[in-house]
Amino acid sequence: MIEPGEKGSMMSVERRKIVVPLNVRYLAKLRNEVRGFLRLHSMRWRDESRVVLAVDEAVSNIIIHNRKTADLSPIEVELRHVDGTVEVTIRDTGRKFNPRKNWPPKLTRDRKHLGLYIISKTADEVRYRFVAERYNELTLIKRTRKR
Amino acid sequence: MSNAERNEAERLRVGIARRPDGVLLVTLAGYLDAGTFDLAEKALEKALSEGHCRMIVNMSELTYIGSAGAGVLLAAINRARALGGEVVLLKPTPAVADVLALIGMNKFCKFADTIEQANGIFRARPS
Repeated sequence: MIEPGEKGSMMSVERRKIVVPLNVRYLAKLRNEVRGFLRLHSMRWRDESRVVLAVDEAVSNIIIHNRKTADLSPIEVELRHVDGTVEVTIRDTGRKFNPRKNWPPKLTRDRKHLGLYIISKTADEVRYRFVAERYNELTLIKRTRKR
Repeated sequence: MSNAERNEAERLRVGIARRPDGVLLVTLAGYLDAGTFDLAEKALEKALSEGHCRMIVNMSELTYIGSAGAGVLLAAINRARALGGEVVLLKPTPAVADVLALIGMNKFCKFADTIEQANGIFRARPS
């Protein structure tokens, strides 16, 4: 599930790639992998928990929606730590879906779109692009505070 | 129990015990995410459909909750209240409490640190 990481030479960049099969059974493993990567950077537990939560929500949404289609391709999650900032890029080949269309999502009484709301509250920045008319790329950015 | 349900049970354990005072004690242990929420949902829905509208949900061994899990709790709380009852969340772990606070459920839910405290909440709101 994990590809080897890299270390940049000019500035401190660490990277890890995780391939997640399109099945909710792999969410726990994904959370463990993300947590393991974040632990290398001594984040505060709340920041760490919230990044894990945001990734879980994003990937859960993709799995649930993409499983309704014929495309059962896995999801790619790329983690990068660059000079105190964690960037998580999530790529999937499902139907185009721009979560930033109605941004920021509001917290409704019936808690609809709760996953997107959680992502908006946990990430410092959220970027989306549909790359080469082929895949969705969602990037969550979290500036870290040391423990 | 189907194979799929057995597999889910490895990751989320749901225990149900009826207390002498009629309150149902539901224990959720493990994690409540998009892969396991339906197990908890079935258990809570069954209890509510059998008329158990006063419940304590022990969350002291629940290590993770996502939006799917929070949705299950919210639905159970709303349904129990509609039946004149209440669902009290017992001792959520810090990680779970943080998620509930993030989505505003800390203002909406009843929490207790002990069974006695939970009983106090039921006494204040008899069904």
